[in-house]
Amino acid sequence: MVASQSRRATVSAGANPLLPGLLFVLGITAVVEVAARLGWLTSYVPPPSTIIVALFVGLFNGEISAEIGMTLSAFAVGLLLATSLAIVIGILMGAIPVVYDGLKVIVEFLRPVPSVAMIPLAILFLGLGTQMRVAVITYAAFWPLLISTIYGVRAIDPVALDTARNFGVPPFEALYRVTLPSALVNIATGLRVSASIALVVTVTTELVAGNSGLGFYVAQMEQASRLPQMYAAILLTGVLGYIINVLFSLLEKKVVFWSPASRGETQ
Amino acid sequence: MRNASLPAKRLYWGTTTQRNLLGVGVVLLLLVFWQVVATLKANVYLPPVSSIVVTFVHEWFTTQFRDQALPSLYRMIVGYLSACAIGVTVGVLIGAYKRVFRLLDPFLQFLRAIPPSAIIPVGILLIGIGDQMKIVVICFGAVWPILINAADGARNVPRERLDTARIFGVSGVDTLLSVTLPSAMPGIFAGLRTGLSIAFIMIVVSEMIGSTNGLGYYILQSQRTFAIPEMYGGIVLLAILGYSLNAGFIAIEHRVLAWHHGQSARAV
Amino acid sequence: MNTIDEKLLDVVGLEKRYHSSGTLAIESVTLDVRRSEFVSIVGPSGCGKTTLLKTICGLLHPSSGTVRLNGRLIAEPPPEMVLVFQDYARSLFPWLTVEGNVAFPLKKKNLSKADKSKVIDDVLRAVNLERFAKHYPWQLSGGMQQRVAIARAVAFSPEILLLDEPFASVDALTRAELEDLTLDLRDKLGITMLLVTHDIDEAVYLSDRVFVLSPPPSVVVREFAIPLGRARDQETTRSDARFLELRNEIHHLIGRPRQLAPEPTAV
Repeated sequence: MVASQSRRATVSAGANPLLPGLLFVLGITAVVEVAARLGWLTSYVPPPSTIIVALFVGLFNGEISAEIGMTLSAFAVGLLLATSLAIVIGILMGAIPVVYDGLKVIVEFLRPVPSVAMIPLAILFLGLGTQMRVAVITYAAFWPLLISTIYGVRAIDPVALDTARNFGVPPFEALYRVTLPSALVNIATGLRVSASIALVVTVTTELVAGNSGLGFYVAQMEQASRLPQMYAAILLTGVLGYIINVLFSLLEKKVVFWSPASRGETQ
Repeated sequence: MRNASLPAKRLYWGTTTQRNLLGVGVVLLLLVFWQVVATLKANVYLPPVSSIVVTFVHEWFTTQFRDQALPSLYRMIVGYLSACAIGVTVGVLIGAYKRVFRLLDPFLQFLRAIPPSAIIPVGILLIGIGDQMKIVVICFGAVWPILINAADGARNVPRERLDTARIFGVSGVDTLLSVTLPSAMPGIFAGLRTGLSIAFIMIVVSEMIGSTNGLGYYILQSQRTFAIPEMYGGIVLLAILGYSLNAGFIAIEHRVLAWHHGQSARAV
Repeated sequence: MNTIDEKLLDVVGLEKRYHSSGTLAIESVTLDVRRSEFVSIVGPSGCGKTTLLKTICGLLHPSSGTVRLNGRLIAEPPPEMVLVFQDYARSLFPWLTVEGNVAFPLKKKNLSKADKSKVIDDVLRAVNLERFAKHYPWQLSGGMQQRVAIARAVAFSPEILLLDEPFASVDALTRAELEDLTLDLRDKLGITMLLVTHDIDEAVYLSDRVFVLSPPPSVVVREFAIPLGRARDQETTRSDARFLELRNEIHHLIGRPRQLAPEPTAV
């Protein structure tokens, strides 16, 4: 309670807490603009204004917007697949000790493999299309969610389970009425981490071995020496990354507002 | 008391040895299954485990380790360590001074949000495809989680700790080093860990996109030339390296953060 | 001896208004502490006691009024004065051992290694923790941790200790033990003590004088002299008729906040 009150107080105290930060971004942009116009930078750094123009032209004539669609759909399908797989396997591993011990070694060995190392393998079996990218994205996004789901299920308060048992709640019902809600906090955190990893891997696979999407577009523009377009696309990946991070952070806050961690850690 | 013994029963079965044997057993069983299927089906894309092992030994116990793995490790370690140095220093400074934090936060949040591999083409344009480019893009990728976690850690040092330093006449750089930095250490390590896995991704990607050697180059090249067992062997080597780096990291973390783990264990 | 020299700490018309919210925490506080005296400030919860101590020791700047130590105005925390916080878990450094924590104030003192370890040994012995030098604070009980905090303060060799509810987070037995330890330190080392507490019994038990504070915006309502002599004892002092009388009188005063109007005779 005290923490939230004081936070509100500080927010209302400053005129606009974001203002200096935004001015700084504008300032940097202006400096680069002037430096580029005056020819102080290499020709590989075009003036920011040309990048902004390229961005809007690309968005309106559909050149870039089509790629955004490709990127986002691969991202969404991969994340969705990873989420469903990770939650099911995570609950099984978290709730049943034999399953946990049986799969532990595989998980421990596969998890540190950088997901992008799987790109050549995926190309081999699935070619250069969307399927290949979705497979790699799924693989990459799977691990953080799996680990946090296992952790969430294992960390569940035994008192809560016993309470359920005392009230005669059958085991399967206890799973989705007690275990899942408790683990939801960890799952939400895992989902946020997985989402940002999924976007990174989406762009990366497009860049390395794609035939569509923003990453592919960046590589193409580089080869075509259309630098404002290239920078515009990179800028867009940043915007997407920012939006995705904000959205999943909001989701996480919504899920965890009642958890002790979210109450204790603020200050 | 009866309740307290229950979770132990729920989490463990058998002895530790039995539980570890099961894990290893499942892996062995899968490998045997792979071997049998690959031998019977004779699919080029799925070579038998035995041939992957033979290729692995043949490739990595010879000059390939020096020619492919060492360059990758070198780039990665230099890139990652510079990211650590920059991220921790700048992060702690930004976090310790509220005004600087407010000024730079939106800019940093945006830079962090860019998928780091997207800047590889920029790196190639500006620096070329040498070691330097890889080191720079690895550093660029790994620095953000480190920097932002360090800033968050430095920003949230309990007031009483900073006041204590002031009361004892400790100030400025001394406070940063003896109070702010250690207080931020748990957060910093969370960032260092994320940074390490990003650095690993970045080395592989940057070598796939613009390189003439290194593990990323090797794996992709093996796939393109249909040297399939070599490709699998390369992935296995990456797994081993990833596992070892992670294990090394955890060992260091346990040493440096022993106080933090001890304290949290007490609190629960 | 003239009276001015006797005053080690002299607080005159101290006012503190918070910048961010504009709240007036302390309206006007005037008090003084003489050398090797034990003075307490008691008041209802939330009467700005911590703010008062922080302002006295120079961590916060007063909105008006003055604080003088040995006749000199205080702007920054002076080397002759140390504040001991209520929350030892936050003020002790968890990454340092007991020894390391106690050595922290010696950083700026340019002592030789031998002198340093002598100081550490001495202060740890003074709080009966010499056997725990290599432990970490979080391995100790609450009472022991607060003793570490006191030892660390004493290691700085201050003339006056400001104690902010230092015994509020420990159990009753430990509390009595710490109270007597504090009295002991005052007697043996001649350190002057200024204690802030909401516990009236504690204030009367420990002090030579007690200042009663009103709810915020705080003013000193009354000053009590506690004529119980230097030697105090948990049993005999606390059952002394004068102790009970004073304690009841202060209770009566604080228990009815509406009557806490400043009396002209009080200050």
